Amino acid sequence: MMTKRVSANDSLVDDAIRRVRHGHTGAFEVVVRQFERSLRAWLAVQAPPGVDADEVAQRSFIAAFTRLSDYEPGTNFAAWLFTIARFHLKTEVSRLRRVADYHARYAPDLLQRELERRSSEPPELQQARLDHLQTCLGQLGEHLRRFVTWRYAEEIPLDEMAARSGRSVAAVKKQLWQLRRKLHQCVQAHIATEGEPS
Amino acid sequence: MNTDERFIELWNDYLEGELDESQTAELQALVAEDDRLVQMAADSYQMHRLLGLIAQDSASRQDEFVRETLARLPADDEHFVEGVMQRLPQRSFRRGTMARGPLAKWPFAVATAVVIVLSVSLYRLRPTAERAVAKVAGLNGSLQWTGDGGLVFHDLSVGTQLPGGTVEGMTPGSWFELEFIDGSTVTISGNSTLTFSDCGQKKLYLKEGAVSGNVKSQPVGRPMLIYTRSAMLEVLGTQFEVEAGLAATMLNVREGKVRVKRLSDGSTVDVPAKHRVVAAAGQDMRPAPVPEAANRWKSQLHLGPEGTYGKWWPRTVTQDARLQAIPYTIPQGFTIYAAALGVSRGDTPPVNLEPGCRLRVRGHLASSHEVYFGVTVRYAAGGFAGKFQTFRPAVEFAGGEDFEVLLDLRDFRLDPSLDEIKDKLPSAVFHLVVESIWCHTLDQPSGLEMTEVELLPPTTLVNPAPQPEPPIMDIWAATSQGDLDTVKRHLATGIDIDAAFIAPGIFASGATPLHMAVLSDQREIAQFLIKKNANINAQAKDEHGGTPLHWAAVLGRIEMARRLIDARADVNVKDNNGYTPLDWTAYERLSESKTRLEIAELLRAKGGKRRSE
Repeated sequence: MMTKRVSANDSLVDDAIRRVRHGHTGAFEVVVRQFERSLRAWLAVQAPPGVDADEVAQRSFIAAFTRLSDYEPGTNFAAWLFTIARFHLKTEVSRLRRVADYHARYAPDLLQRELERRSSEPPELQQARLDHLQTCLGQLGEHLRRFVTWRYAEEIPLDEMAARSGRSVAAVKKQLWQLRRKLHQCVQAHIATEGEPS
Repeated sequence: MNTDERFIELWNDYLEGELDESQTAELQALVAEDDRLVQMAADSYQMHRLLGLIAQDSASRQDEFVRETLARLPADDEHFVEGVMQRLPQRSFRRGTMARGPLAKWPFAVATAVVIVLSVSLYRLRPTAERAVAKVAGLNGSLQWTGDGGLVFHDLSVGTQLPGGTVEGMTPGSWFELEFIDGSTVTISGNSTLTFSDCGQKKLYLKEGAVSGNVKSQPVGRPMLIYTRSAMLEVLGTQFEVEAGLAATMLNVREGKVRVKRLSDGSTVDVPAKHRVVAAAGQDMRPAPVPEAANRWKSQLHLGPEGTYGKWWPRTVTQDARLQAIPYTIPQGFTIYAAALGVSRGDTPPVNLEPGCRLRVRGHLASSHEVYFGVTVRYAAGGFAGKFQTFRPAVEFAGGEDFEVLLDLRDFRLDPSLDEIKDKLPSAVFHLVVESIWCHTLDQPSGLEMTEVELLPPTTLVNPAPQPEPPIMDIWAATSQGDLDTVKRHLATGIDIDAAFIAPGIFASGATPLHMAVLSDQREIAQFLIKKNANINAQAKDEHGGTPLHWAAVLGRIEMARRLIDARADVNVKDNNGYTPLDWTAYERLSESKTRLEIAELLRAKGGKRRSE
């Protein structure tokens, strides 16, 4: 699904890249809009705690812009862009590892390694996961979806969530854990059914 | 509590940013012992991030991301790092998608440090825009650029880097400045077509129009070359102007030296500073000193259309030669009907605008319409100095008749399209050289034609008048245009502040300046006139005899009505037929009923009545 969508816009992107190379900087907007969501999704799940994924996404776009003469039109721009993003993410993670108290305070080392291992997954997979997650959220009952809304959209404190739902804070935490797990299983089921993008 | 339950508890607290150091260590120890927990943690973490992304996903947020990203793109090498650093504090679109509490605050500090590191590394990684040979240093008016592959672009902007190509000015007011990598600049103005390249040697092809240049020292043996239909110019340095027509090329050298080769016979001549030459087949090509500037000029349309923009009609038995405005639709969608005359061109002396100079324009308008008059000017030493314009309202032009307007150059203002660079341009036209004189109407084909344009030198200064000279633009026109300065200058000459504008057959005939302010909704001027004791209940000198309040009522000018009433206008004042302002609110053809209804309510509230009451 993702692959088809990108292919349909390949000529649009290549045309925009050609215009950028001719000095029309504004045409780069087409490129950013085309890949903004998939790149941010990929970085969001690959970036370990402490890394500002959107910052890395912007830096990746800027790097792509400045190195545009290296890109060969007609080849896979998405792959080229994600290679740049992967490089920037790796650079940032390497830098963070040198921060003295990073692991002690913010990131379990093993989690970071697992994320790094997963970063070799094709970027299209995260976009597909994002799409499936939308579907799975739509299938959630209202009594469960409200926790997602409170936590991620409204960002209200846990104690208020507890007050609203008539539960303890500990119960709310457990509910959130179960929700994430349930959604993960739902997404994986969709991936298994529809297959991963090539 | 078993291991899994403890892990879940700690993990939830971790995601919420509520773990302290000892709990973090405990979490580390738990996952280190069980790979299954690592997988669960990673799954949960990634889901957590995706949910955060979805929750905050919206078109406006996407727009914000795109806008911020584009704003951070380097405009040029010099400003790249500086630009990135300056934009750091403006990162505003992100919200905490990861965690709350201490963990949520941390990424910004990290990102700040990251940007510093990456800024430097990216700067080193950047290519030198190998295909770009120049960038847009300034532009105005309608332009188009054609690059490789014949793609045409209209939306150029300052800073855009260009790899070469062809730039065309589409209207008489177009102006474009190109800066090469070595700092050399060339400028085209008006309807000019210039192709440029720099493959180790700068080459310009001027198909038509005018180009001026300020050229830095070029590599030995590779001077800038300029080709026209009739000549090849080798720029040895440094400031010059070239004008190319079908059969001749005029070169004016301000500084340095330019070698001219006439293509028809291969003859060559060096043109030194402050000299000019015309290269045309069969003409003498000896350089001559640039003549002294003139302060008067007159069009000679009967000689032909050379140097003009518009449709030229020759002189006939019954009509003078004339230049008809032609339409041009700019990419933004407006259509301008314009005609223009080149002034300081060819081998004629440059024409200077001096204080006291006036412009007389004669022409014809098929239908009544407001007309813009303007001049494009350059500095005496070269270089674009702006476009200045004034306009005369439609009431001054009776449809189907010839017109003659005398324009005071003091009334000319910088073209609003140049507002962004107004600090770099002069604020008035004086002591500048006229490149062209133009006029146009907007949106409507009104059959605008010019038959004669004359720049009149300053009038005698031997006996300066004791009183300030009245502006050329009358007080009613100035009022309708919102030109408060001119209104003040009129009053300074002692003009009757309640004088009526008399022009039978014209809509506004009979209006006092205050009526005119109401008509054109010029609130600041209305306030000024009231303050200067204008008769607030003055009746227009027309068949109706309405007061400014009557006019505000029928025109739906609610704010103006309020100001007049606040200034003690009589709400029950009668017109020539005994009708009150409240009666006039019932007239439906000049404004929307909603605003007239509001005014009626206002009048009622202030004791207003109808004639019949």
